[in-house]
Amino acid sequence: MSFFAKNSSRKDNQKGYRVIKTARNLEAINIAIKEGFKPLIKRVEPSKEIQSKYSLFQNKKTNEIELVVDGRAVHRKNNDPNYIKIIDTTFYYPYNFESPFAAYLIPPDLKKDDFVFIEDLIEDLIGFEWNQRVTKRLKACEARWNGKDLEILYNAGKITRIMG
Amino acid sequence: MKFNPLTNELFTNKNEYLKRLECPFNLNWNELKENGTLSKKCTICENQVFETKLLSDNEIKRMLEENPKTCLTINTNQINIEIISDGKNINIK
Repeated sequence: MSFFAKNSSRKDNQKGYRVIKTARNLEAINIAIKEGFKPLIKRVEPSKEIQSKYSLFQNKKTNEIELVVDGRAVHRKNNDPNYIKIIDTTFYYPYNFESPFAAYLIPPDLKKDDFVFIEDLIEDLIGFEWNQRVTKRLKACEARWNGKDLEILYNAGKITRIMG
Repeated sequence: MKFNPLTNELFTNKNEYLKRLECPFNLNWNELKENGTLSKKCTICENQVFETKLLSDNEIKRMLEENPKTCLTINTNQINIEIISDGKNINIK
């Protein structure tokens, strides 16, 4: 359902589009239905492309366990006689969602081809990528309502620079 | 410096919190105006955005003490950044 926009799609609502809310559990979906929204229900499916990683080391002097993510720091600690490796680099999916399904709440007056801003994406799309195979999911994105579904205006460009 | 990509928080190497890197304008670095070698200027708010690749933790701390709203930029591949996670939400599959 997603397609790649030629122009960069903003992760914030700079264009002032109508905001589409996401209901993350059954109770919230049914409340929204009573309020007149049409739920666009999706499976919450973790993407294999979204992952973080960690290693655990123990400081021999203090016995404290330290969590290390960056491979460069793992290398340093591997060569440091003051540390013992407890768990070698392990990749994992770093998000938890309360329900295996969720719904975009479509306002009843939304017109076909209207542009909107989804503030809590259900789909796992890469929003940030680091060259050590660590990725982060895109939280929000612009989309277009085609009358049946939301077409996510996703720019797949790799983001390694962060400002703020 | 240490950076947590899950929270966008920047820390010193001694784990002292510096700031959360969040910009409402979300411009790309190449959309900013040239402003010397160590910063660029935002085309929307006119703030200077400082490149951190040549700055020490202490220099950044001082900048933020003088102005907590100082804008910074990092590239996650730069040599003086260590990527960290706060360990929350660890869910090994």
